[in-house]
Amino acid sequence: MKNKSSPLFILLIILLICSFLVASGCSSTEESDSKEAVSGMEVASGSDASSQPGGSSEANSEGDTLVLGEMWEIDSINTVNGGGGTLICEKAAITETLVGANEDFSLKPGLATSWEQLDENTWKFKLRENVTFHDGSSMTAEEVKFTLENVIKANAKVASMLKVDTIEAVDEYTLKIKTREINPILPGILHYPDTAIISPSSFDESGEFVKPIGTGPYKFESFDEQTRVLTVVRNENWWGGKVGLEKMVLKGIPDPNTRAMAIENGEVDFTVDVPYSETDRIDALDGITVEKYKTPRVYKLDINLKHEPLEDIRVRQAMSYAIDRHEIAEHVLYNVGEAAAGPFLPTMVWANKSLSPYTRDLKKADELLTAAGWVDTNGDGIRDKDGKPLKLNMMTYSARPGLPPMAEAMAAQLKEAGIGVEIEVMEMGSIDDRREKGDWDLYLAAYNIAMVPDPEYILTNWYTTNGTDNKPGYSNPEVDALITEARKITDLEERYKKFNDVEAIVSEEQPMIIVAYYGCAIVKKDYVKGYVFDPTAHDYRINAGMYIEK
Amino acid sequence: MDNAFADRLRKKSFLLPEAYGNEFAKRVFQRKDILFALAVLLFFIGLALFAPLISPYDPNAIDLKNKNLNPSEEHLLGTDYLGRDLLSRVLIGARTSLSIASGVVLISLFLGTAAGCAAGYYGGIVDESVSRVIDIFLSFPGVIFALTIMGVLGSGVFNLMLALSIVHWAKFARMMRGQVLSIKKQEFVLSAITGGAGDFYIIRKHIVPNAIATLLVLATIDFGHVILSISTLSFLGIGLPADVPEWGAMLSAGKEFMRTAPCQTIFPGLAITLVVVIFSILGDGMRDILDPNHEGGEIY
Amino acid sequence: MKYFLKRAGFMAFTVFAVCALTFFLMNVIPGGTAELILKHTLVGLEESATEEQLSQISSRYNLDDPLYLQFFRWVKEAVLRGDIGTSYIYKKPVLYLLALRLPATVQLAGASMALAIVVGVSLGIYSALRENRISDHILRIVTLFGVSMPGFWVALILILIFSLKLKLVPVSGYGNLENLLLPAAALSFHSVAAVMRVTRTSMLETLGQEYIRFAKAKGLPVWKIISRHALKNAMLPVITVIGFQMGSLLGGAVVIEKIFAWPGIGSLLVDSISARDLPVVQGCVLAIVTMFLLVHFLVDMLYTHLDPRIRYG
Repeated sequence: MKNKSSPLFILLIILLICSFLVASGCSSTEESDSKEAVSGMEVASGSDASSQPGGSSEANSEGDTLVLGEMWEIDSINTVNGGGGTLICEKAAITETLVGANEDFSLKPGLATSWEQLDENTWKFKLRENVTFHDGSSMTAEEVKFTLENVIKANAKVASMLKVDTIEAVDEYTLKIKTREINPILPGILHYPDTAIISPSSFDESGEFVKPIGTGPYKFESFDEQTRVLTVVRNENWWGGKVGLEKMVLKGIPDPNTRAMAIENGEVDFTVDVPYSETDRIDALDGITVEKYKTPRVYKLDINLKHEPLEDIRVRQAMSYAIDRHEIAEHVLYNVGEAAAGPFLPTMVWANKSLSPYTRDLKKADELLTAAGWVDTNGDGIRDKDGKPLKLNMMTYSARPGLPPMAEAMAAQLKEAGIGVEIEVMEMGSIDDRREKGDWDLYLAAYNIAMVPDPEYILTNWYTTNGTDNKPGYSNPEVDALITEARKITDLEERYKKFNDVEAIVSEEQPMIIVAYYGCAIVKKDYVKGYVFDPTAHDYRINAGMYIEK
Repeated sequence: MDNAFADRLRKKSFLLPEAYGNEFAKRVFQRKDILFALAVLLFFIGLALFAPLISPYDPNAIDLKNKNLNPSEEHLLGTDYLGRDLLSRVLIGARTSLSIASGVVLISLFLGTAAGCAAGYYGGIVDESVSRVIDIFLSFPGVIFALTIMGVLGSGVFNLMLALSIVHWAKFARMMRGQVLSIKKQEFVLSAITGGAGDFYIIRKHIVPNAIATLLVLATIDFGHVILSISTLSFLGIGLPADVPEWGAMLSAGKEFMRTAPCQTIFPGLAITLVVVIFSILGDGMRDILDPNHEGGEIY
Repeated sequence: MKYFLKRAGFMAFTVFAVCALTFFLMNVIPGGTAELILKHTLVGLEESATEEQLSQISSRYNLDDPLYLQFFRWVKEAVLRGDIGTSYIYKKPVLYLLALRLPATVQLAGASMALAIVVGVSLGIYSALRENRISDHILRIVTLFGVSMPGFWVALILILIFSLKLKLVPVSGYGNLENLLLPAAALSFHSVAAVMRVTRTSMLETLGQEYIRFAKAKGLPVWKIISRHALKNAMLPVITVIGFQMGSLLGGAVVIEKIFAWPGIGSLLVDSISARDLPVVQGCVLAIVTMFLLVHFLVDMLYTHLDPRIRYG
């Protein structure tokens, strides 16, 4: 052999390199854990979530630590620009908002104890006294002003809702907000988690956001940017009283299947939205409970009203009769969610309670379609008119697991009524593009209906002629007039009455088909006690009263 | 390696195209494993062709009350999460996968042959630039490349074919180039050139027929890889519209039911594996015949 | 030496071309970049963004400039200052993100490679020694299926068996050796099979050689023949295959990382493509392609070194 080093030797070297890589990967993880954790109070605090030995169900919760399997990847802890607002406020319970909400979505005091409208454009908020931030400083009108001004600067969405002109700290605990135009939903917007109050010390000298320092039951401890694990600890001095858990570790697990396996394996103690089909099986397991709730979100089928067959009200009504909402809720959503009557949950204080969901009626659908001129003349199962078949495309996306199967089920149900539907599961970018160009017929999506606990926001966006979410192009002067009128009314009863009328009109005309209410499955170990579901939260809210008892 | 293998092939037993074909066929019939794989493949193709006739149910008809069933007399492979008959869907899925894969392999074969011929035959600046392009395409991990292209094109059967072809053609081009380089040196080609035959004539009459067997072996091996790529893309949720039954997409949708109704992941997965196994056997066997002494084993 | 320079120059060119290709491809994907950035950072996927927000974002990231100018700027920064941009979504330098994510991928790929070599080579030798016996046939059939099974299917089955049924290892997570086992096994499945098959063929060929028979006749014990003589020559093709497998490991890692929520560069890339986080996509592609090219370069070098018959240049 001419060459001295044998291939075997080389192979050994490759192997050595590989094992070195593995080892270096491991050690660099640990290094970066302690290095990158935003504030490493404990050494390698980030790694202790990931180093939980799996397999045994007891291992996780020594002491009162709760490991939470969060449903989205934890990308940001910045509360000001909207990136991490919901997470930090509702799921990590680090920050709190000025205004709270009851189960029926009526408002209640939060960090503000009371508020009143002084004149059309001026609001006065009385703040709660004796509230301290996690850094020890006390919360006064100055800090609240500071937070709101920063949020308005960084978060155009909130800014456009608030329509704030000036904010003034009248005295230590009084805040005056002037709006540019009349804005009856201002208190409701201040329930939005992105407006949660933080201490100025959340920023460093250069004005960069470093970490959220709020007033809530839990204090920020660390955020590991590599594993994206957020750790919070009990705030001993919470104004609201005793806090149940000593520590909470939040891990983003975006895949519902993985969340299910994680709680079964005892890697997390609390999680949400396991695959809907698994809810009953997991509930039956020893030591795990699944609770199903409704959240303020709906599955909605947008209809492109500019397209020929769909501008006909009879076609839309026929579609609504062809869709079996109850069957979808039972067999596709596994009862995590319910058949929907209108855009609002019946439990919401302003909802039109006289509405009920369309029930499936193929005969009625057939009558309506035949009246509209759509008949199956060539016997291929698809109706046609003037030689054109009734074929539609339906776009949807997969970020919410209920959507693709729901689309498939609806397509099959519509096919039974003679309407051909082709489903396209796409990326958000492509969907936006197609919607922008008007190159679509149907679009199935999940929409938040209580970003602000008030009906005005949703009804304006969806149903007014120039509404921001009115891509379908619905325009009804009566609806526009009712909403404009209601906007000027401050008396809640009167306001809601107008909105009820709007709901009734759109239920009749079906400019978009509301298919089902969105559900949420809370999955927790039995030793997690004291959990109270908050229906007004975006996904779910961690309450201070939660504790672990074994 | 491909080129080295092709070179050896030329040196060892150079056969004229006609005799070559006969000899090849004869040897194929001596190999039991190839025959067996061919038979199974034909069976699959038959199933795919006649799927609409033999599938017991409409593959898209849902029956929500009978969802997630285990195999029974009514539903031989059970039903999926919307109560659709799995057997029918797997059958129609064979159609989707096989036809898309054939499309991809044909397009890549065509593109690759054209590019490889141009590079190998003309040499010089043409070769230099085509080779660089080939190398660039080969240095991009396939899945990631296809993912990006699908993002640009949007979902759909044709788009998927196009995206995968863009990923796969470079392999064929590289191999074709190597083939052309070695065939070009053969005496009969040289004499044809000095005899004043046109470029196109030489390529068509001498080069392509002599290279085609090697390319077909690569195509056979690649066929399996294309099927795997299709299912991987479908699994990641891009590729085909949701109501087109495809094995990878069925697997992806069925993984949620892995424990409650495992049939939805088992049967499509088995179908993919089986088809790929068949193409592995065929590809390996054909290569053995072409080059009994190849040292490599699998390269891909 | 000239060959090295040429090769290095070519690698630089390829990396550049791939980056340019990615850049322009990403920009023709339908859907506005500014809008997607907003949806992924501020307003939420299902909400719509306001005009004001859109123009804010566009001007902050110079998204309205012509593409060639944007690309030119990116190249200039990258070459002159080693700065390959800042993520739109995470608002962190891309290099920093890569430094966070790369170790995980390298670790996963390294572990899979090690598994592939150890298991693949030993099974290959075993199978060659037992040529045409039952165990050889079983192994060959198993590996035939091994190279034919889709990686994600293997991953799902492994999870089902080892995590859920036997509860031996956690389903997902990162940082510990036990977290690494399942993803590495799933990822290496294909490579183990490929390495094993090549080892077997090439061992068989070597064992048939004159000098091995001679050694056998001399009465040397089998293990000595293998370790002293046969392995040396049989490993040549194995090393080539390992190089090729490295490439497919990098590609396969994307899916595996997605399934196991492994915080590596592959899952970062997939997420960034859908969020249209262009600087991160660029960075990931840059890293992946560079690794890929380097590995191939190393394999080629090894090959020339080992087999003096091959000469480049």
